[in-house]
Amino acid sequence: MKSRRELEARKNRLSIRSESTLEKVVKECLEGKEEAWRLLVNTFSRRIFNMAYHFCGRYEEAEDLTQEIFMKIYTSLSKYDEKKDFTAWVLTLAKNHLIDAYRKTKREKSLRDELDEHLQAALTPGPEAELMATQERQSLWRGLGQLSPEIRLAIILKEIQGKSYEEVAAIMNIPVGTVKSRINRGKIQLARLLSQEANQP
Amino acid sequence: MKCARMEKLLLPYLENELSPEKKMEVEAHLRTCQSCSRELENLKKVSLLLASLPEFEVSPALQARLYSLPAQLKIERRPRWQLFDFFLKPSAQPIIAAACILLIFISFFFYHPDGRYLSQFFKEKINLTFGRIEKTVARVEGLPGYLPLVRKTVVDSLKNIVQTRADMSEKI
Repeated sequence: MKSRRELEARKNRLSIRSESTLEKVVKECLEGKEEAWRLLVNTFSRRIFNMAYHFCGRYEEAEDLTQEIFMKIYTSLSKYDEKKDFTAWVLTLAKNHLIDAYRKTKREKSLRDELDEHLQAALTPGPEAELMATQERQSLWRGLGQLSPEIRLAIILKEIQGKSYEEVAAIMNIPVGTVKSRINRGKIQLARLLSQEANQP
Repeated sequence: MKCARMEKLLLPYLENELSPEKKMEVEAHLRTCQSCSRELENLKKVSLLLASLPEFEVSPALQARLYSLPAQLKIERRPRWQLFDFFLKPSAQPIIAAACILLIFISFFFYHPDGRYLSQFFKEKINLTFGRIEKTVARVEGLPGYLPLVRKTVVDSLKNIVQTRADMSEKI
């Protein structure tokens, strides 16, 4: 028989897969059911936390941002229009909050975590990891901080989180063509940064 | 093809989004241009590196904080006076200032001891302006009779100037 703690842990891992159940969960959440809120958190916390961490580059700040974003989600759940895609709605909210926060705190923007224990722990050693020099990854990670916030978010959504151009366009509320040109610009900027750093010993 | 144009084509080329002709063009350029082919290599590397950036796990502490948000928010229901916070927002200040000035002007109308002093003042102003406009119109109507006179004086003074010039050059 499974212990109570294990059961609890399993319950916490549960997340929502299909969009139709999501809608039901949102309704339940509005009625104040704690279970429903937990499901929502499980479904989105990882995605939003990663988005925030890749965006701002600092662990503690990313945690705070994630909490603020969830607070926003909770308080504006009643404003959610059922005709729209819930995932896109949530991610748009997250994107808006990240960009607002970026504009508010103008200080030390380029300061990002070094390839520290968070990053190291998350790296799974494999053929891919061996292939890529850690140093290059580190300079790319730092380079992300030098992109403008809109370009940075587009790249995070498309390249790191693996969304399609159309999904990114829906989340960021801009035409697909703009997404493409932003990602193009950002990648070229990153490529130049990499080659610059490679030339400097 | 120029390298500057390549900048926009390299990524679509990598993602196989170009038409066959464009693709051929890009490939032809890449064969001859070293810097662009280096850039292409770098772009490939960037895409791979980005995809290889790790996904992070949410720490249990954060997860717990997120779970408890609704309960926290219930406790922290804002007191009623904070509903008027928007008065203090910087964006609302010019609007509030404008509203105050407007109210002051309105109060002149309603509470001035001389009763309708202000409206009287405005009426006078309006009458004065009308008077001025009428005068100007009358003057303009008088112009046709006045013009030949003006012309004569102008012509006379011009003649005068020419005359004095001529005199001076003779003396020299």
